[in-house]
Amino acid sequence: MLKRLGESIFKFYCHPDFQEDILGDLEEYYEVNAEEKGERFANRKFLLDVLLLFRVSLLKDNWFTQNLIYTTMVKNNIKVAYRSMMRHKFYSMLNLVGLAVSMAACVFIAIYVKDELSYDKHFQNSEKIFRVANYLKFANNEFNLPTAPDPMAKTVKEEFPEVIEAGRTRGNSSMNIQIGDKFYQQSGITWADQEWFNIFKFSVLQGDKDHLLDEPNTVVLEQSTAKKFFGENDPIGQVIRVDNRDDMIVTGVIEDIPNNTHFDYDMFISMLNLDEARRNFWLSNNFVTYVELQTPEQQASFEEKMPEFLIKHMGEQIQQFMGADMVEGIEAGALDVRYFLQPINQIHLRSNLDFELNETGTIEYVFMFSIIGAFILLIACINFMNMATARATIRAKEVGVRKVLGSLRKQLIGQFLTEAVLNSFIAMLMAVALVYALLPGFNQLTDKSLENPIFSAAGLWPFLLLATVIVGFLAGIYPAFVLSSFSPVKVLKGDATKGKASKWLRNLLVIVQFSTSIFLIIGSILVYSQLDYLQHKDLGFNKDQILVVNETQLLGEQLDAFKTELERSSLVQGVSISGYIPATDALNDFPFLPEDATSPDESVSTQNWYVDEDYAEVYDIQILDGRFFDKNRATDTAAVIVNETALRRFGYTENPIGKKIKTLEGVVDNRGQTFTIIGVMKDFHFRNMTTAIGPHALFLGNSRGSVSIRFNPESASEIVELAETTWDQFASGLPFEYSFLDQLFQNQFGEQNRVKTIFTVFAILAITIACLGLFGLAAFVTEQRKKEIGIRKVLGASTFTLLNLLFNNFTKLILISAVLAIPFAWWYMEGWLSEYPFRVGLNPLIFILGTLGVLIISWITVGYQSLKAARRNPVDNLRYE
Amino acid sequence: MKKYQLGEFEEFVLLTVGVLYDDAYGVSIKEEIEKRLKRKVSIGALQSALRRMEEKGFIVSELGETTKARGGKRKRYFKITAFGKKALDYNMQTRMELYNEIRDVALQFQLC
Repeated sequence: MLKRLGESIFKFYCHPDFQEDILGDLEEYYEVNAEEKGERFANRKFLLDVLLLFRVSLLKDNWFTQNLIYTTMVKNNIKVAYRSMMRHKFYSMLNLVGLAVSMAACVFIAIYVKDELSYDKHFQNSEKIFRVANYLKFANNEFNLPTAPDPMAKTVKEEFPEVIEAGRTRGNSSMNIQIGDKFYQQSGITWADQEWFNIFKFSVLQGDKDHLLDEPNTVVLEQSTAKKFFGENDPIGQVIRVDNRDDMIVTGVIEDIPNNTHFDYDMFISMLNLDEARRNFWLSNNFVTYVELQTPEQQASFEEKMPEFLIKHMGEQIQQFMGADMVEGIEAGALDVRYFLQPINQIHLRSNLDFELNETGTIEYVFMFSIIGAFILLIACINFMNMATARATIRAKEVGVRKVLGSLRKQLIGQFLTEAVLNSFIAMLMAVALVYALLPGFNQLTDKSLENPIFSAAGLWPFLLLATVIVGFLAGIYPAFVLSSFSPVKVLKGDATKGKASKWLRNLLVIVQFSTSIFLIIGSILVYSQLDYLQHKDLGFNKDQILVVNETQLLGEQLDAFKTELERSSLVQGVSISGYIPATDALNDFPFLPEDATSPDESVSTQNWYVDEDYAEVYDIQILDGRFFDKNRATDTAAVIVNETALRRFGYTENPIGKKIKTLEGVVDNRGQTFTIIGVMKDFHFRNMTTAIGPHALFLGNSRGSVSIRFNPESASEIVELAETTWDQFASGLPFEYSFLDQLFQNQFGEQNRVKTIFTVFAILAITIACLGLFGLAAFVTEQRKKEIGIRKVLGASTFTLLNLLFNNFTKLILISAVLAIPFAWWYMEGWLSEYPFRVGLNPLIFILGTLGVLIISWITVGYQSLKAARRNPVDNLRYE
Repeated sequence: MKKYQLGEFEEFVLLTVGVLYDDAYGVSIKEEIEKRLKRKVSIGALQSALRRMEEKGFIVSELGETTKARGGKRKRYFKITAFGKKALDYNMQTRMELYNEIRDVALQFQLC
């Protein structure tokens, strides 16, 4: 009994090789013992021996003694992969470079998309924070604003139990800051509530987070602003003078607001300094209002209660100031007032209101770039697959020999996949190097400031690693299955590789590549021509040779003297004082009515600009009818000059001069004024090139924010110096701020220029990678048809005939690609262009040119190989040894 | 040195295998050592030493014929290899060298 137990224990742990003889030995002892000392002793002794026999060196194989992974085969696979790469250095390089470049492009796209998606998600509770936005419509005027009336925040917090906190900011302006005897022109200044800080919970570096802006004359600075103002000194309690008027005390310093935030402020002034913030006026929208709800789901219940809430608070004031009933107005369709909540973490990508706080991204671009990135990667993968199947002829023999020697199909698949993954891994290393090399250019292009997007803690590296393996598998799976499926007998006899299926697939893959390339090329030509059109379109005024001096209101009474002094110079053709500069979004919207209008429904939302008498001359604005303002006519203060669009909207199509327009009665500060039209100006692009020209009116008035100087074309280099020295005569140390109008105009095209560059880069990438693939493929096809070419040549074919023969196939493929790509490009670009009020037409020539370009590039690519083959001495092609 | 690493017990086992020549298997080796050295030998220690030395290449083994005894289990016979012999020689030689280097005076024991 004990003996049997011992035996089974021994068998359990002992290595099978040793079991027999050791057990035999034990048996021998047992027999001796049983004879000498009795069976019981022998039994016990046997078990004891078994237990004492336990030694590590006698153990069975187990996870201790085994290797965790069988590395031998993998090592062999890698070795074979390396050798096959080295044997065809040229083609391997083509593959690797193509893959690396497209991977780099994809990595950039991933970085971009990830950054775009990260906007505003860094706030604590960001999913509970909402911005109050609105859609307003009265008569023909529509507004989509990210702002709300001043009492909105306070009232929703009182009346809606969902709201934990509500806070506001107002404006984003540039002001003059004086600290001691130093002046700074500081931009990014806003007014803010203490409640606003309670919502966003910035990390407060200095100061009490609950009492940052709860008193008047206090400011909070961003860390970098504080550093700029005070260096290493303690900013808390310091006094700064704002716009040479108010002294304010610094009460807090917050950490810099991250770039991926939908607002960008550097300095905050207490909202208590702003009387306007306590007016309790529901009919103007100037305050960016944020609410924090208890749960994100309460957005629905909040919005549900909104209409009733608005009627209660807003209706009263509509009655009072406009003499209209809000409910009636809404029912009649003349009025539409909707306030809704935007989750802040969706503002950057999904919100597209009229006055966004910062440049917003668009979810469409995020999608589009992702798709393009995927396509470029696909092209590179296709190259890899094409090359691999084309090379199948050579590898087929290897496969045959391996199979004969006993390789299983599984092992062959494993080998080819290892090869592909190894390739994609090397390509990825190259891609990462490329990404880091090109990062500065990328940052410049996308207006971001990313430093270490891949290897930082929240970087992309885990995804990259995963993507490498996936790309490797994608690129390798087809060749792996095709190659491993060859029957060894056929392969070794030499007739298995002429399968038509793989040729078809190859052609299909080439078509996919070239359709994508053609699409991207047509796209970039169109984007380019549209931008060119916008940038060179007649603006309606002359933007060249105008220098704009900003912050001129600081000169106070001296401003007119400054102007006169400038006008005296021979370099200067004209000077105008007006804060309203085209292309700067200096907007001042206000409704006007035709004189005989009876209801507010007829009002026309008009841009009102206050200018001086020299404005038309300096900006070269064409007056179609009537005259511009005149210094010598006192009545011109009640005169107005309107553009053609405004005229149409007012209904004054004939004899407009002398007709009158009036303001809405009863709206704050405006008690029904009437203005006489004295001139009609030609429509000009006062805002930017991507919006339609709306109604526009000029008034004579004091707007002293900027001075525009038109200078002689030949004095461009001296004008800044002249303006600055003149400024210094009057400004006593105030900073001189200037810009050139044509540059302001160029800056407006930031977004479009970006799209243009990205399209161009992608198009070049796509065509390059596709051509790399084509080049390799052409080389192989030519190599395969070497003998055929030789025979044809011997029989008298000319070089031209041979080239024709070799080009034919590729040309056909590219033409098919064009047929597929052109309708899609047409449809897509039509959609893109339709967003522009001023746009180029879709010229069929562009499509033909795009296709022709691709065709020529690919002919050149294929031509080199073909020409070489066609001109070779046929003897070299036909000889065996 | 490393090449010929041979522990004290291993050395005895190796010598015994040599002594027993064509009758060196588990039981006989154990008995022989016990007889000559007058000390108990545990089966586990002996067996693991044998396997270890086989792995190092000092001895080789082969299975014998099946007999009625031992419950029909075959014996594993061990044989010393040339390499094993070298290891033994090396061991012996280094010991002798060391022994011979001891100056006579160190070995003169007197009552003092």
